[in-house]
Amino acid sequence: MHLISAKSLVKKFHQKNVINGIDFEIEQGEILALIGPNGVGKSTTIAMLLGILKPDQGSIIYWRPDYRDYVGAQLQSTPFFEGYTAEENLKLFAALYHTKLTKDQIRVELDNCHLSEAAKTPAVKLSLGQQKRLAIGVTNVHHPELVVLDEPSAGLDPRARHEIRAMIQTMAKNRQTVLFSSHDMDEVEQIADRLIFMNDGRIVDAGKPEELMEKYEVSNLEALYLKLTPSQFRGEY
Amino acid sequence: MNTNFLNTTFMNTVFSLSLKAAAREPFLLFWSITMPIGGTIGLGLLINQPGYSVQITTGMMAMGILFYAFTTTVFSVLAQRKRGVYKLLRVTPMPLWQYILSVSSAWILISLLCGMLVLSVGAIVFGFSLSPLAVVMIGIVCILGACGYVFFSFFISGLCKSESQASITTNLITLPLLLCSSAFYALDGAPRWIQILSYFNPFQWFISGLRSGCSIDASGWLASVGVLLVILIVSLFLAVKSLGFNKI
Repeated sequence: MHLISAKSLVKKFHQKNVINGIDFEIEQGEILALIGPNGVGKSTTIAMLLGILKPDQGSIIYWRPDYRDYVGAQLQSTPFFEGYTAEENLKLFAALYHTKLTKDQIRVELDNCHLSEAAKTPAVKLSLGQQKRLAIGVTNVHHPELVVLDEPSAGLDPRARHEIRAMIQTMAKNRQTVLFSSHDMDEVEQIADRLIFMNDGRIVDAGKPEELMEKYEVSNLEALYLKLTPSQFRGEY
Repeated sequence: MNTNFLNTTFMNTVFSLSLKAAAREPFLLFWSITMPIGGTIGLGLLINQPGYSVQITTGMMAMGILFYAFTTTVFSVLAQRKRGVYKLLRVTPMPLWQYILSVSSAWILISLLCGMLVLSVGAIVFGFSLSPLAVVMIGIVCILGACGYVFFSFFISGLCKSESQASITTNLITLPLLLCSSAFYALDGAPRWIQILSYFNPFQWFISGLRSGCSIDASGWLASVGVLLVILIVSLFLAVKSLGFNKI
């Protein structure tokens, strides 16, 4: 079943097309990775899917009319509420999704993010890794069917990246669908079921990692990334 | 997911958490509580003239509410905008207006409490008494004024890209409002042009409303309430505009 079906999406900023007519679907239960260099339109695509930006052309069909109740999203920034503790942010985000958490549920959610000891710490004072974990925690506080994560592990050290990957894998085990964008090919290789490569506002190719590697005759995803996202420098591919 | 709750339950959660977070704000303690109370007592004792104690108490009340409901909230709203909170709210099922209403209510309640605290200290220190009707009239003016300032803060925060811009902008707005008003001194001896300007000063209408409430001057109070209502509607319109699609 398609959770989201995007048809011929176009988005312009200042008369310039940043998304040039892209089509794709998100299948229920998959972990889908949106891959491409900075500025190719990954975040814009995500913003359109989430209803933050309106596409200038094209349409997005959702699997249910009240889809907002069943989507959790983490944008590139970690949008915590200033002056609120980690625990309060969880409560507040739950309220935004019409969910009321009991004390026990808050404890479980904090445990899931490995943040039990930081429950009373203001969210903005947490380390970057802790903030990212909390950001994913608040995304998942209402146990949505679709989780959208925009570069969830950007700027993190290896251990923090590992923890984020584990959280995404847990979501997949719980039959949640995950769409995430990333530059980290190790991460993509470990967790993604399907990939969408973007370049210059277009989808260059999409498919399962092994199928794409076979098609482009490369042995790993980093080589595939280099092949599908040409360098701006001459002499490199 | 529990969908049986009325939206008000969740608005209450947002309200109570906002109240808790706002109460921890150090700027609140200084600019809206310590400074107005210190100013009321200090100036009231220094300028020991009949009637000045009520003048300075209401002036300081108005200043404290302005600093909290406008200046502090400009920075809070700007911080939330910059962190993408309003963008993220578009993803959630809670309508943006419900969130804005909940947090604004919390900020307005805090403004009211700060104002009433300054009024109580002034009344105790200088020994003036107010009837329950006067307190109600003052409370209504406080709420209307704070509403207008909070909504205006959403608009101003939308114009600012950084904290330094917000600092300059809020100072450029609040200083003329304070200086062209009778918050700390009577305008009777001021140049004519300042007296004319004060008729167009929303802060002066706020102070006049508080003072009319103290003296239970119904006509003066009604005039101030009318002007404050107009300011509130204009501020609400500007706030809604500033939170439009692609502007958050």
